[in-house]
Amino acid sequence: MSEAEAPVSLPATAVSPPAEAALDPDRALVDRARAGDTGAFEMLVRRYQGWVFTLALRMLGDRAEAEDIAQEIFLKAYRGLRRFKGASRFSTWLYAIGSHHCLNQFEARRRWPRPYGRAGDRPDHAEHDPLAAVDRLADQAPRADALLEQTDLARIVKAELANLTAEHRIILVLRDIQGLSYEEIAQTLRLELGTVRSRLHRARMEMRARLTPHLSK
Amino acid sequence: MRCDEARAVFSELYDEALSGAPLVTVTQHLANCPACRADWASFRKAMQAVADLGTAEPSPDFAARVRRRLEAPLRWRRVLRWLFLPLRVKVPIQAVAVVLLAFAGLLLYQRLPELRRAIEPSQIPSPPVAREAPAPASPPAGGEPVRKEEGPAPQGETPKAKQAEPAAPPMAAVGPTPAAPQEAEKTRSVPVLRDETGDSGTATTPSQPLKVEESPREFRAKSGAAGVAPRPLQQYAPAPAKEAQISAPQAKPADVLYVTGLTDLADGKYERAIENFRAFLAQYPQDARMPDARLRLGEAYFGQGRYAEALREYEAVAQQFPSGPQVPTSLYLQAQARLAQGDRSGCQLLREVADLYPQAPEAASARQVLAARCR
Repeated sequence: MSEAEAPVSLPATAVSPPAEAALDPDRALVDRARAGDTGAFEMLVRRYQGWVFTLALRMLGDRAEAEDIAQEIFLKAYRGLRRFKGASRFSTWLYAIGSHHCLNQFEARRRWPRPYGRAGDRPDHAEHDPLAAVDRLADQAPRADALLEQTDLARIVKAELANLTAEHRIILVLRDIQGLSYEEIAQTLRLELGTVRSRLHRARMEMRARLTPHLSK
Repeated sequence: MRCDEARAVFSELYDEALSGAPLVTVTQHLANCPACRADWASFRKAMQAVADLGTAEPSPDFAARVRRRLEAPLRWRRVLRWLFLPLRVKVPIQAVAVVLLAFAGLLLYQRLPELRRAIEPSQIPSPPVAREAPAPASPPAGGEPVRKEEGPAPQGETPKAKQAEPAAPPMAAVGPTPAAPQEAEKTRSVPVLRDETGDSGTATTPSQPLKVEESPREFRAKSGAAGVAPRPLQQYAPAPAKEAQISAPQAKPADVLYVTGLTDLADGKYERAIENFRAFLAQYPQDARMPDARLRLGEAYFGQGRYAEALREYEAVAQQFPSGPQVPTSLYLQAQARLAQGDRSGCQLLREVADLYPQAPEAASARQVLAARCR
């Protein structure tokens, strides 16, 4: 596997932003992409596509839609490269773009909900199956790895995740699924560190309260 | 440590963010409190379930699709490229097309009389008409102050030379007809004083754009013919039966028809001049410019080589206005038309002009033609 395709390893240690920027492993690719090298940007996409796609999928639930959202996030990042001055790591900057784009999409969906999700969903299915909400959010033709996720517990967790507020959901996804540090979450969501701690605690306690009845079975 | 205090740090405990005394305190509390210990186990299990969702990967061609979208030009860029690239080819073609379009538009404007006439009336104001104003018995001596004196014919231009070019009307040869639009503009600025009752008033013609060295009115004043009371204008109108045959499909203002006719005549567009003057005569038979319009109509016929029709118009003016200021002009033009037809009786008419109207501007021209062609 080439350097460009290496899996993402996010540092969990707290590093100050300038020091982070100096240690940015993406600097060379970012410089080339900023100069118009789409091949270099494609390498960045390969490096971070899993992270961005997971964020979109956990926030919005639909694989096809998550791919569209992930593409839009990368396009926004490419067009915004001129404004990226390197004050932070490229990954942090990309997380911020992705998080805010997902929150905007989440808000848009809340205001203009789709009645039955994607084509093939049925309203009667939604009425009789308590996990229909998860199915609505799930891809209609999931891949093999997605099928592996379709255990009962995973479906319950996704369903309960979908019931959280946007701010609780994203902070839970960033910390417990994506593995970002408190500092990275603070930079990504532009929050104070204390706010990150307290909000994460409340999100976790709510999630625990929602999952406890299912976990005790 | 109380139970609520211990539960308040579950999140940090789960993230292993506690150390030192807080970590010892909460650990001791969990060891001693079964309820909190059960809560803590439940908390860890729930968080582990969330973490087990794990990451997901998009389609294998995801990155390639992103790159394709990056490299796909925006729609407006595609349009600009289609319009202008390659620059060396498309820009000259577009420049030539613009020039051709502009030229075609100009040509269309010039060649399309309907379009031109549709535009011109809105630009030409109607002349002020004082219908009830009393007409003077005779114009003041010295002629019309507004009448523009036309210069004499060039010395080198002989009637014989004019005769050699039948396409040119005699009036155009005598006077500078290209100045007709300017004359017409002056004509429009002169109020028309008209007595429509015709019993005692004098129909004073406005300044006429005749291409003669001296206006007929000046000639009339100088020759003592000013005292002759003209007939009512209604009598000057052409016969109704004749005019009924004249097609005048468009009802244009009198000024528009008359000025456009003058302009066409000056431009050598005789057919259009004929149309305009015929329409003028048909629609405005009582207009004070009617005699001059007939003379102009005759000029247009003459320009086309239709000498018989020109002669008919000239004779009609002389017959209908026997004491009018246009008589010497009419006689002179009749002579020209007859000579053009090979009729030597034109010489007799020229002598009449020279003898009966010695102060008329046509007299000098008549003597020149007599010397050249009637020996």
